[in-house]
Amino acid sequence: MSSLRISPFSPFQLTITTVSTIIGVAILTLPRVIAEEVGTPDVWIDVILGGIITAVAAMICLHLSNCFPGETFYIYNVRIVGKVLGTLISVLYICNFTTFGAFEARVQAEVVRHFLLDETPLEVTMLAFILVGFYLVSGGLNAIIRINEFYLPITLLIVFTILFLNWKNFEFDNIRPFLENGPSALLPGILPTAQAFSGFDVILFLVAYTRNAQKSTLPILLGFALVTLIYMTIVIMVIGSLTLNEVITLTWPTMEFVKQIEFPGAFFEHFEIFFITIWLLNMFTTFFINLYLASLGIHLLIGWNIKLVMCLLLPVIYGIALLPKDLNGALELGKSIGFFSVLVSTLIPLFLLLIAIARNRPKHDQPVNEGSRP
Amino acid sequence: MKPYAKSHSPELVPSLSDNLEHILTLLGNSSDIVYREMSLGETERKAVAIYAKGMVDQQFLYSQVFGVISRRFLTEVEASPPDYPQNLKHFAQHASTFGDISVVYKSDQCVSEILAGNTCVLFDEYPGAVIFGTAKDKSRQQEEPASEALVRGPRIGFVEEVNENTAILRRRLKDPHLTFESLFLGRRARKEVIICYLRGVTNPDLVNEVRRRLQKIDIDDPIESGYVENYIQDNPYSPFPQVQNTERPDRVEGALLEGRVAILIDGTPFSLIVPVTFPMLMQSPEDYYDRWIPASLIRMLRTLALFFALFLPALYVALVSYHQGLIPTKLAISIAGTREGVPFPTIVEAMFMEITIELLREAGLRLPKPVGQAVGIVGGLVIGQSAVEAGIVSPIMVIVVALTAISSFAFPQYPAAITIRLLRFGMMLAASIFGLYGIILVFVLITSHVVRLKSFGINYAAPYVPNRVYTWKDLFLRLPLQTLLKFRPAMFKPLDRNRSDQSK
Repeated sequence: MSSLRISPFSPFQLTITTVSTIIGVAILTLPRVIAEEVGTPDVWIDVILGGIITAVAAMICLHLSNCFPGETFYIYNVRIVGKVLGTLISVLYICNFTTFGAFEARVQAEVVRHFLLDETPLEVTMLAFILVGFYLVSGGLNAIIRINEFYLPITLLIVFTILFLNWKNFEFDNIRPFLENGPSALLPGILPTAQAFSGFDVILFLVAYTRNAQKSTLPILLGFALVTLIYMTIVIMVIGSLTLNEVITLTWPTMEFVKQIEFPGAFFEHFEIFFITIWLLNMFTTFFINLYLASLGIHLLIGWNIKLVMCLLLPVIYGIALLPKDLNGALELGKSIGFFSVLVSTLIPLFLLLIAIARNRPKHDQPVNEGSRP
Repeated sequence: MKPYAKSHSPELVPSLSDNLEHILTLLGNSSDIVYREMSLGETERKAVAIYAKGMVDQQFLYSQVFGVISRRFLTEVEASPPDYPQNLKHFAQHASTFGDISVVYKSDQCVSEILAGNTCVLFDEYPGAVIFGTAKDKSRQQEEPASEALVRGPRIGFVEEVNENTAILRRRLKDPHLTFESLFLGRRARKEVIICYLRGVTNPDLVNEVRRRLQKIDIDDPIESGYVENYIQDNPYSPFPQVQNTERPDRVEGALLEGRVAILIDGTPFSLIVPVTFPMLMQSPEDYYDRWIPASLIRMLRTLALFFALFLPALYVALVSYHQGLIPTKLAISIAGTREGVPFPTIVEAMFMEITIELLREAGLRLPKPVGQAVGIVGGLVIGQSAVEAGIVSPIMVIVVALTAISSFAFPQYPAAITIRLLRFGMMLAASIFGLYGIILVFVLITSHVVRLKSFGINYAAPYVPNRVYTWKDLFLRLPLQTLLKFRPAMFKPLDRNRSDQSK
């Protein structure tokens, strides 16, 4: 552990990292994905539901980690379910992070080809992305957390500015009717929105290095509220200005939405420059933490130097990123990873928490309460 | 060879000729060292005064020192001839009218006193030397520093003399907690280096770290504070300056009050301040002298200047070569019109103009001031104009380059401007290969480097990162001083955080 040199960070920083990890591909595709599943304009309710469900799952992760203060998930899962099953779970998570990182690299390359560099091969942009990512990640977890803090204010500023600038195109009629087919029609949309929130399971691994981790509940919930707000505003604004039928036909609906902005007299008529910039920055932040946590897992399992593990992971990630044949293949890969990830990150912590409670593991945040009861 | 590093030097002996010979071997036969023999009144005894020509106050030396030695000395010593050595010591300690007089018993002490400008007098039959403080105070006039001009602010700058500089600071900050800690650097030069901090405010760990790094320096002569800066910075391979240098006492004063440490070095008006972060390098003392609204606007203007200086040419290259669709149609047409007939790709054009501007800047800097300005005007106007007329570059390119250059001159600290200019070339190259994507990649690389970098344990991007909203009130904005000066910045971990009475 000493080779990692992680200095503890605050619950606030934990939240920023979680938020930065969650915000990723989904910001561009969410309106389409969710509209395809549900088919009515009131899909933004799904976003709220998805946010609440994943926030509960995040609370489970937080609570579970708080039962084992100072230990990261890779270590304490062995103490709950034993060596074999625990190692298996760790491997599952490592695979999840690796493929997720590869997916990030692939999708950003697809977007870059679509919007910026139509002649540069995907292989080149992916390689550049992975290498630049490696430079930061080799600086350790604290550097990753600081860069998340660096990018998040820029992201918020630009996202909300763009949403604000587009208010002229927004038509309230486009997001009506409300609950046309009854509440049950919204159910199929919950899974894709929950996928948009995937990435919150970094909490399992980062709580170990958080100062006053017991106080993280409120910051994390506020973080989820922020992400839900961003997603919801984007979905409402995109569907409200492009109409549901058009959104379903677009691969990157948010991008088309941004292109609509017309700001008379401004130098930039094309605000997608800014949007694509912050979106890429957020792809980087998600990639950083995925690469780091995958390397951390292997480091803790095998004991190799973490920088060596990162170097060895780079070609693996590159290879996986090259697998999908085209954009649709890549998005399909993303869908299955997202599904898998939601399943893993909600169910496994829940089971582990139940087992841990059943085994009456020592809890560090509860004895005071129990003791005070008469 | 270590001339003065011997720990045990021979003690002075009661023989004038032996002492003289020994000092002579230590000092060598330099032409500026004067050996002046005097006879003590009418006795047989002799005395020799040794001093370095030009470093001593000649008038003082002749009228006071020599006079005293040959006249008063005679009467005092002749009064009791048997205890001559005791009398001599007594004379040196009590009878003299000099303020600065001492007796030393080692030859290497004599040598260092002579080299410091004092006069050393050796006496017959006396195993010691009397040192008269005759060093000439030769500091220049204190002027307003040329490198950091302000519209409003004290018109005073540090000078080359370190003792003068400590006096300037002491005069400005009459706090008993202001501490100067002196140490000597350089195997040969023995330059005085002074660590300066506020006791009870500055974190002792920071002071210890500064002391440790200074003591680790092993060079023969730290000619300028830049030498020291190079040795104590955290990452020597980083393009970013991790130590602040300044000629302004008011800047040092502000830094001390924030709980930072200043390092003054003899022989240069440039003092060093640690730790420093990049946002601090974008600030000027004047930000705090102005009223808060103009100061805040100027801060925002500088942020814009930073953006232009770093991104503008790269953005131009990227947009024109790759993403013509992202430029507004009318502008795209006019750019295409002006680029008609330009035989080079945009990146070559941009590099050509940027390098020209850098050359002009460098040339203007090295020449005498009036000529430098002329070079700037001739170069800027003539080359820009004729390059456009000759059809080598497009007029818009000239505008972009000029705007970039002006932006990089708007930086309040020179080292930060150099860094940004350097990074701009990397940006432009990346933009020519990957377009906008290249710019983003380089931006991620730069920010990655910045968040990994530390200056004496402080994150280099602080107070932007780690972000707390309450530290941002002195970042892009400069809120009223009443709100800022309640507490010292927490990032320096000061012992005493309060700057004002909190009970009010």
